[in-house]
Amino acid sequence: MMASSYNAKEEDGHNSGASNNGGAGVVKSKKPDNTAFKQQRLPAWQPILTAGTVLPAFFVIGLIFIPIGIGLYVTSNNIKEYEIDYTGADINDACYNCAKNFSWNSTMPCVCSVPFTLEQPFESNVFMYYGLSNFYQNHRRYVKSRDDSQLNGDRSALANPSKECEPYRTSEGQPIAPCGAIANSLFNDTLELYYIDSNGSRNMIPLVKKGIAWWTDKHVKFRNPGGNDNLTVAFQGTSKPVNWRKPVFEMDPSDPENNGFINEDFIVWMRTAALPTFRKLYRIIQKKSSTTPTLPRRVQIEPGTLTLRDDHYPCELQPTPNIADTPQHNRN
Amino acid sequence: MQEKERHVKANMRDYNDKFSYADNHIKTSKYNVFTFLPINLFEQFQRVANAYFLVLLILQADILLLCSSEPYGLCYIETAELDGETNLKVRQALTVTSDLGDTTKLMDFDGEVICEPPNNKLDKFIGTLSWRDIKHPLDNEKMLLRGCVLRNTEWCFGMVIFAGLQTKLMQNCGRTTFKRTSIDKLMNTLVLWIFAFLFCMGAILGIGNAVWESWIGRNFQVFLPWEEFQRSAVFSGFLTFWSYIIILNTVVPISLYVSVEVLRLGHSYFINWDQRMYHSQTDTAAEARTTTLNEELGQVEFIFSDKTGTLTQNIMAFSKCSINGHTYGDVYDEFERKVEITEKTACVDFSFNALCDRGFKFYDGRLVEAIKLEDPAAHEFFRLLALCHTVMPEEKSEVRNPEGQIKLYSKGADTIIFDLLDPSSEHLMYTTSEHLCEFAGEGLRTLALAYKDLDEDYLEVWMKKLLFASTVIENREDQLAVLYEEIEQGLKLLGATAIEDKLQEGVPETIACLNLADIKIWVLTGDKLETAMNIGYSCNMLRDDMNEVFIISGHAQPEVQQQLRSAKERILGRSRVSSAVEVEKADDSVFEETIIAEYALVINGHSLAHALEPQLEHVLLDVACLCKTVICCRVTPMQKAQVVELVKRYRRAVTLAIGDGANDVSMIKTAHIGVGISGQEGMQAALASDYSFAQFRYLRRLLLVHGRWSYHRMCHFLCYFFYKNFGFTLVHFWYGFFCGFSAQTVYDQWFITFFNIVYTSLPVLAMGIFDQTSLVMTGT
Repeated sequence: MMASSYNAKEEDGHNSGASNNGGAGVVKSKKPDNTAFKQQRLPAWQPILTAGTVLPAFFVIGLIFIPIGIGLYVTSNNIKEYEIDYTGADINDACYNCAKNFSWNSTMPCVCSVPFTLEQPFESNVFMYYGLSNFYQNHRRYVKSRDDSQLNGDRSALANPSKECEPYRTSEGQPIAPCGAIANSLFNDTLELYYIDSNGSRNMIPLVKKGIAWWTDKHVKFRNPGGNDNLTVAFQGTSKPVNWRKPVFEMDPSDPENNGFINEDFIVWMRTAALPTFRKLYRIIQKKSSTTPTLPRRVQIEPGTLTLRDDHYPCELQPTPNIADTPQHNRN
Repeated sequence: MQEKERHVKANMRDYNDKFSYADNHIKTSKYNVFTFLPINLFEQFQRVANAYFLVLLILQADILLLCSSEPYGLCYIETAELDGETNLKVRQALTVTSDLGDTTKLMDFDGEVICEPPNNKLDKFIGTLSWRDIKHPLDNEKMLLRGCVLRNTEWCFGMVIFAGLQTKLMQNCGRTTFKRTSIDKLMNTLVLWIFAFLFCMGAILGIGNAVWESWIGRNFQVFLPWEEFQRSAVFSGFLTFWSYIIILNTVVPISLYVSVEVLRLGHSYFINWDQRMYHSQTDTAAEARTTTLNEELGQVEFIFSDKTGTLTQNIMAFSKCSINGHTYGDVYDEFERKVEITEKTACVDFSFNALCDRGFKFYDGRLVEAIKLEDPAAHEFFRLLALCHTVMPEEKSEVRNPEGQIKLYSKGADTIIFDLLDPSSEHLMYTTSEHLCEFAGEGLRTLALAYKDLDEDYLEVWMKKLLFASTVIENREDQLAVLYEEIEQGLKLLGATAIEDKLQEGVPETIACLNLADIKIWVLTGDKLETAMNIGYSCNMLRDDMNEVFIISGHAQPEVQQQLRSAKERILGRSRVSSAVEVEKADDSVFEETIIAEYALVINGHSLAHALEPQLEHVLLDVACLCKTVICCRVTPMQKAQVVELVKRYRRAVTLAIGDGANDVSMIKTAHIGVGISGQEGMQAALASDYSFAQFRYLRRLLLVHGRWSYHRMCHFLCYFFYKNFGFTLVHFWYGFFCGFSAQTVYDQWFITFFNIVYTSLPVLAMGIFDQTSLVMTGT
């Protein structure tokens, strides 16, 4: 519109000629350049919203989203989920006695088993999560209570952790590795799954403990100090976090790729949750073959037993393991 | 102690030093190393930015020209920095000093200059040079002011009179009041409110933290012990309050001010680049001289316009004259009826005169015949015009004609000339003033012409007195005025000229368009009532179908008051009858809306002086605002500014003043927005203005396109800016409820840092610069 209504009435003055072949001695015209930019004639578009245009567009977009919504709903419903609360808060709970007698300083672990039956077999890979509620992993002072360079294998940070780690920076005069409140409160329950078959024998279900952390965390952000040295040597001169029972280099002695700072349980815990009630991936149960379900359903009902070692969580924090089927980790 | 006179002796340093006049050290910068930060910050906060500039000067002091490389001590200068005029001006040294070109002679020069103290009048200088016991008068023609550039002159010698901060240029760099727009003020208010909002949020979250720590955080100490300085939940809440003030600081739009400046600069460039505000005849593009007022252009409610040179072209064409009681200029047919002058009407043939201006058209042959018949009055008439050849309001010259007679010719406004007339011209005066009224009624500018024969002896005595008066320093002006008054008595009237000043192109259309936009246009002119009204009619501001045109022309205060009151009553009375609403309670502003009838107010300068007095100004303003059109005539520059000030003060409306001459400068500076027409009367108005262009009609595009766009863009920009900042920051407020009010951020630190300056600055700026509201202004 602007371009078409452009009125060149005055622009045909004699000065335009002077500016075109404006050599030396010719006074340059002050006439502004006739470019789309300077004359504000750049192509522009503005929707004029009327009921006639808005309503159809609205409904068309709505129709496009209906199949997307249906797809998402169906996928979400196909996820099978089973949740077990083993806090032992209720007197009927399997873990009640164990949890009641447990105290922070006790050396005896609290061990209990929770039998459960799945209503349907879980067919595909099964992801096993633990969940905590009202655990403020997103509290500012908690979030910053770590030393990333120490976790990245930095020698000097190992010997002299960041001040952010206080009050979990040193213990008995030695620097703590890994330092800080996050590492100190590591979730260290051991969860095992057994399958009781028809003759009553307990078969341990193999749980895969690798592949649960982010690739970048495992390979970039977290590194053990001292390269390929023996971890025990590398961590010499450091102290374990005060709440831990064993030092960091004994997290998984059987697998050097899963020990020390690059232990995946540890990495998962160190990636703090955004909300106070959260789940973290604990183990993966790999699908064995295409014909047998990963977690079978019926016959195994009674013996489907979960053995839990509840080490040190106070009752009100309610750790809850739960098991979810693939392909999605969480129910939407 | 106030300096009354200045004494400067050439080549006498000791003598001059004892007065301790300013040295030539000038600081044009505003700051020094220590004051930069505080002062600058203060000004940034006040938005008084960028008012400083450094000027490179060629001549660094005001000097008295003694001699130069050119003959007769002539010297050519360009004064573009002083008054904006680029034509060369001539300065000439005193004859006695013009041969001092030799350095040795110059060394011996021991003249003493006694002159006025430093002041800011660029066009006036009064002083005397005493040398070899003779006093020589000095005036501005012998001064080279700081800021001038020498042209076509190899060298010149001069004597420094004013140096440093006392130079006239520096004295003129007064504190110019910084104009701020209403958006600026709104922005400041908004930012204050946002600060308050920020503190509210901080307080809520701080209290939340105190509560959380005492209910939940207390139990969470197993995993997260309280720090040693965190003695209680309340103290933790207090710390959290400050943490949140820091985290939520992105609601406070710090980069807003910078972005707004960038926007305004962009908008100003669009004004400068606009081809539709470029005038090819004078090769002048529009210029936004202030970058801070663009959006205010879209909010203008009152326009105060000068007439001559603003609405009209200020190109004077000789149209009619009255010589010795006869009018010339109209064409009559054989039956003595006036003929309408059209393109086809035959022009007078000037081909007998080799020097004639071919562009000039005159249709009445009788005038040429009168000259050819050697009518003495006609000859005197044209001799006077030839001698006093400008259209300046007042001019006089004394001439000795070939017969040895000495004559004084005087030209000026009829009111002044008529007062100086000899009683013998009384009869002629009546006829001529009738003619003058007739001319003025046609919208012509008139001047009366008179002459006087002078006695040689009398003149000699008078000349001596004049010489004496022109060397005194105190009251020189007054003394000269008395002398001139003395000689200008008993003049004989010759006649009068009527000069046509055509309307500029597109003026009526522009005014009609601005009226449609509900912008009120007041014309403030120095012209006569009749001329002003005529222009009012020709540019559609006054129309015959208007209900009533009130003319206020009282000479005394009660009279003016009475006229204004009755005008108001008539306007209100009529609408009272027609609207039949409960009127007693309603105030005048309600009426403004309800009045459909159209009125116009024409007010004279004398009456305006009374009407602007405190007890009447409200009545004046009420009446003026009830009228569609207001024309003030015979107003002084001061009154122009007073009228603008009146509206500014009581109406709280955005005012715009437009003018072209030095007499409009005060009004241009007073109004919210000053627009200068760079026209025939020099550059003073354009230099004092905020926007300048060549033609009145560009005002329409400036206000209705650029102003409107700027305002829309600025408003949308502000909304967008606040929206993005709030949207970004309120997430943290929301998240506070989930993270124990611990001031944990949702985003990474770098993301927060870059959000405003990298991620979101360009889209919002692009919208603020380029967005166009869907307006299609064809042909504007």
